[in-house]
Amino acid sequence: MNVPNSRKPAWEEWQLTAFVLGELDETTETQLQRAIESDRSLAAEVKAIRQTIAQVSAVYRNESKATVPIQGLGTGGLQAILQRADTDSSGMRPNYLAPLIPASDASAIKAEQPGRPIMKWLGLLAMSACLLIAVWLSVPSLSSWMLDHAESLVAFDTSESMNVEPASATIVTDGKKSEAQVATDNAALSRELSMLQTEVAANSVGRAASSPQTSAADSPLPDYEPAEMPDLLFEEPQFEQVLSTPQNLLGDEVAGQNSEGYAVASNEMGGRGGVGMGMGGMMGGMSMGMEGGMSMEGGGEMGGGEMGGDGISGGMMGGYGMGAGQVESAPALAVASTMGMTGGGTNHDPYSRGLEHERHWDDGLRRRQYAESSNNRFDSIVDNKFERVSDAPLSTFSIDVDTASYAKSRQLLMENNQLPPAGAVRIEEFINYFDYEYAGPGNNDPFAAHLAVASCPWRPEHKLVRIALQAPKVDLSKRPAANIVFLLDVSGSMDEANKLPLVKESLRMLIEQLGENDRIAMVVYAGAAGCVLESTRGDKQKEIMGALERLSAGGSTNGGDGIQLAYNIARDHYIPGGINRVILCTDGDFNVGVTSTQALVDLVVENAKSRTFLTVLGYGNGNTNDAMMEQISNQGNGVYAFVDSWREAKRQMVQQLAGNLLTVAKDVKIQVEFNPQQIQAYRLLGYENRIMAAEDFNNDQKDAGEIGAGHRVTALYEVVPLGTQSDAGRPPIDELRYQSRDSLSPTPTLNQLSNASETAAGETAAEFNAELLAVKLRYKQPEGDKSELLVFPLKDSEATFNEADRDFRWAASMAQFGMLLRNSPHAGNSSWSSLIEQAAVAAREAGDPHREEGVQMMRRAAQLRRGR
Amino acid sequence: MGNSTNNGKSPKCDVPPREWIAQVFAQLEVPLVGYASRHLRGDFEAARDVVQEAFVKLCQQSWPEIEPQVTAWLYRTCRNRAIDLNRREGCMSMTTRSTDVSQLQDQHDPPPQQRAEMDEQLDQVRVQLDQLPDRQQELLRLRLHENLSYKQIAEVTGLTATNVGYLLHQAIATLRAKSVVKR
Repeated sequence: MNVPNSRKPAWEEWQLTAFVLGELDETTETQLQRAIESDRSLAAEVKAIRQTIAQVSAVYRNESKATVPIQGLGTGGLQAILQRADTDSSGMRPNYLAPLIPASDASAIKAEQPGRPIMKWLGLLAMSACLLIAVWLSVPSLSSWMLDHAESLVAFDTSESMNVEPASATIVTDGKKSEAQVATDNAALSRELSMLQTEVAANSVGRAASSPQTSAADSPLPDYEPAEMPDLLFEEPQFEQVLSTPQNLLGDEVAGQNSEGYAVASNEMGGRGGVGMGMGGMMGGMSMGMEGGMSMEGGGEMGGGEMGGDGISGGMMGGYGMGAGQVESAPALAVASTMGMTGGGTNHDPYSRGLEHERHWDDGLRRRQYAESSNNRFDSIVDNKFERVSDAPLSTFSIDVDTASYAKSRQLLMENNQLPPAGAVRIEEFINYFDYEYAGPGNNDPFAAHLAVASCPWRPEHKLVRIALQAPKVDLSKRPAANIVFLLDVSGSMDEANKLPLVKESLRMLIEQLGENDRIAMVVYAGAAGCVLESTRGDKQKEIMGALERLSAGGSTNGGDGIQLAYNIARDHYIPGGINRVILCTDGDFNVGVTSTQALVDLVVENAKSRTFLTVLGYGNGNTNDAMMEQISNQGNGVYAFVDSWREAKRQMVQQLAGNLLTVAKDVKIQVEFNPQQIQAYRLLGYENRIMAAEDFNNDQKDAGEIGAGHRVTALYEVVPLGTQSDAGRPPIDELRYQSRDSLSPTPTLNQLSNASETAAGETAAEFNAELLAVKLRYKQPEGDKSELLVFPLKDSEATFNEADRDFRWAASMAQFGMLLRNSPHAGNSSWSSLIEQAAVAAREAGDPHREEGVQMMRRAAQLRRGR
Repeated sequence: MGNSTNNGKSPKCDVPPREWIAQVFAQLEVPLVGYASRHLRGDFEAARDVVQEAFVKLCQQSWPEIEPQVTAWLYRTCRNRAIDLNRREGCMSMTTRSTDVSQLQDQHDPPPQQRAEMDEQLDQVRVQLDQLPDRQQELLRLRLHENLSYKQIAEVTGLTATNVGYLLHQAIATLRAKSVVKR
């Protein structure tokens, strides 16, 4: 469906509508224009559509003429807004208001501040507003924007009998009758009239005559690909692609280097003073936008104090912006090659990581990849690359305990006999799927850290460093009360044996474990969202099971509405100190509602802030919007697991229940500082979409992963010991002639970045020098807002790979498996046969059937790869 | 976006300049109040509160990133807030139909001299419009009344741009089928 269908003989009606509305891309538009010229029935069709649209527009215009002019907030409202913005922002911009209002008067406003229009200021402000409008209107691009849009409003033939007043087609500004306004109205009017005249002759709604700006505004729309239109099953690669541009601090570079059209277009858009809107701009705004909207809700629900205090506006904003482009603080700002490593953040977006532009992840490839394996949608992932310690001594990432990528790959390999696409393979999830025998913390810490080092199996001259965190196992009988809202996808696509029936089975397993202190509710969504089980006490099993039995599949999906409803119910029955969680069970087919990933993410983030977390359980094969599910669960302090079988349901709902439900620490971040005396370069395996900027480590506003009871997280670094002859991490630019090497040493950076009182002080430099690296952990208590710091140094053990413990070897094998599946350029001398041999040993020693199965998967993958 | 002068600073230090806020406010204040009121059963008072909240939030957005997308951002923020307010009533209220806009209009009948012949035809269209699904009504309004592009509408409503195009087409097709378009 992603192949642009340029030779399609017949035109779809929706294309005609888009054509009339000026929403087709240029190529399609030209083609359609030509077709209309030669095809009379097509021309008639277009004309009819145009007339209908004109009539509707006329209805709207009449409406605004007929009703009492809408009163805006007035200029007093504007003052109240600016004033409130000033107070709400906790002194972030002290001089915000100063130039507009004399100081003494500003205090007077403060007294009245939360109120709406402040009449006292009306005169003065009306004046300034008029001035501003005049200035604004004198900007040519803006006025022409207005006119361009006026055109589309009067987009109908003058031959029509309707008598439309052109003036009403201008933007409604009844609230302000300034002279400047009137003047422009007149200008607009005369332009419209001439437009209307040309309209008679021109078939093209005057679009042909409109400036290139108009096409710039419209062209970023995705090509309409008619094939699957009625299913409303559309991928949105363009969203993710451009997510980074507006916020990325290196946005311009990205735009230039990607030059994918969207980004470029949005640049032009920017020139319009914020009125026009490119795809890039929009998606960038998405995160911020929803942020704003949602945080208002938070404020409303929880008292205004939360609004600023939660760091929603400033901090979270940074969360996205910085996540996308945080490289600037890493020591090697200018070195483009470091970006692949340090960019990206929580954005889950290879494009914001960006600048790996030499790589092959162009849009076409992404699309092709999307198209693979029956509608499964996976984000592409670009492997982390080697970083030189001298350039970037700190490596920071957020933990991720998800396992869906492994289960999904297992399904593709073992059931579909298909190699998973590279984008579906997230190495960290391959590693973290498995149980490891790490000891839990002995004290009150929420987790224990286990560091180990051994030689790297696929590149023996390198070393492999394991960082493992183990959260304490919690006695389930002592768990806090749970307030669970199931959000169940009952759309038509769920009507398969491995979907809804498996969902029901999973729920039954979980419900059986609930008691009288727990509450459970069920929300279903398909064409519409509805609550099928109001929040009910956990011991009313009959009632709950009854509701569960009655579920059946049908309709199309509107995940967006459903998720809001589910969150609302969770909020209504919030248990302080308890487990408050929405569990979304879906095949990921959000095809009607809030389909934009970012909109969903923002919703989820907002609710995570009020401590209602999200678990996403993916079901079925095909149709799984993996990228979206991964992203919304990551941002929702949640878990994303893929349930492909009864066994996996049991694993998630019974064995891992505590971990999935009971968060022991949230916003867990890992920062590794490498010692340049020992290590020259390093590479983090996996966690590509969890990389954070170094300075985000200490920023409590930055969201990160959570860890549940009994969960464990393993991360592997491949490190290049100092003095190794290796091209890994070879500098992409020559040594700087005028930079002193000393200034790049990591120690001062560490001191700058972390609170001096928290670093282990008093140890001698010599002691530090013997260390390979130090792992710093930051986490918050589940209900806390302030992070705590743990530091663990690691010394080299000179162990060979075979001397490492079996968990180490298994984790390394899974990383290797992932790299081979992904065709990673970093796989070294890995081969399927050596991998399988090494993994089989580690699996046998552990006696874990899951690991045995992992080895089976490797065998199958090796076969499939050979067969190609 | 064309400028990158703010690079290298933490984004939260850069808030939109008040002059720009004032411009945007002047331009969008009234349309936004009108738009929000439709989600609030015509309660203009509440709509103005919603719009005020949105602009307060806008002042806290990161500049200049917010600039190119401000229109959709404001519409969306107002929409979300309005829908939330509307939804307070209860669990299922979100699936209830939004207010019939025509009821509001009928309280303010236009002056008789304006009701020419063509109004009859438009009245018919209006009746047909009111019978469309709420979502389609909203999309038509956003496109034709508020002048937002498909993409902007997508941002506001959370649909995809393609979806918007499809639904708009459906709406227009329905209207066409129902009303005899006079040549």
